Amino acid sequence: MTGLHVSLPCHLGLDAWAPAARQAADCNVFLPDVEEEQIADERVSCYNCQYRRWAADGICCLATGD
Amino acid sequence: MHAYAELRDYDMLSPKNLVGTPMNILVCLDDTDNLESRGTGELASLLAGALEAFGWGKSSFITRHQLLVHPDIPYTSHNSSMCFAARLESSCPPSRFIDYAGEFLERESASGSDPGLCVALPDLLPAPELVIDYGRSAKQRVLDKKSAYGLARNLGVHLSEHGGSGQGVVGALAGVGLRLGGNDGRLKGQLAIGVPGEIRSVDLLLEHPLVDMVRGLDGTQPDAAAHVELGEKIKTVLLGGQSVLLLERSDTPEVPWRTCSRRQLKDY
Repeated sequence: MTGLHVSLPCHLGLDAWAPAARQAADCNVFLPDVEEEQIADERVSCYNCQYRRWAADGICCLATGD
Repeated sequence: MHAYAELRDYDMLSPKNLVGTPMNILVCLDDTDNLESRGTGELASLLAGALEAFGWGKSSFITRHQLLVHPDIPYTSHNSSMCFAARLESSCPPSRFIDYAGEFLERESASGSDPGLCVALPDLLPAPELVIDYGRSAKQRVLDKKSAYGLARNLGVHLSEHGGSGQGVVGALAGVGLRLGGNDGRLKGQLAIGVPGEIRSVDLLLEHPLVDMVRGLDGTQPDAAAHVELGEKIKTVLLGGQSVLLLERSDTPEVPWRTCSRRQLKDY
């Protein structure tokens, strides 16, 4: 949430489109983020999830800690 | 010494300077959400809608501006700010809108958030390039509240915090700068144009009220009569101060263009 100073390791890089779609499809906490924050063409993708957090080199998952 | 130090105490928002004058304003919100709440974009939509519902003026589209993601910057999940332009009627001085917007943020922002509000009058900004530079800087390096307040004060830009640490003032000022620069961000929302797979001409696309220009990703200008295949999520970006629908080339001679995907627009 706001005010987070986290530096979790990123589980997906900036362009891991296929793995992001596969992982999100298998994930039971996936929740689509608001439209303006979605960047993947696949509707279900870690890149479109409300629980992903962007870092300079990719995304980490705030729901699972990955 | 900053180049803008000599501008200190310029007060463009002083009511005595603004009575009876229609005003263009830029409004930016940042850091209003938490992991479970509505996004800042939705609050920007609500605020822009309220401005119109009260008869205070007319709002334009909302743009999303990506700022730096860095371990030293507190942000929820993506560190973006949301900005819209509006034209206030002469009956609504900017101070009235600002008062409402501040109360709105305090009422509507999510628990644990650090909301910031920036309102600028672009037609009266003494040195707009300084705000634009600030916005660009916020995409490249870590900035603090002190720098934001210093610049805002010197340029007569309204900047205020409405809860938590108030760290959102940095992104709010940066968002105004990036919107003012006219070459950053995607528009909030998707264009309601046809259905995926449908073919439209460029000139028909230009009839949409939120499309100012149609352009190829490579910078080329498609012919007005050229055919375009519509994709699933159609979105415009802010380029040259306009809402631009970007197209990519296709391999089909009869339909030489198609709209860009979300992935293709992710860096805007």
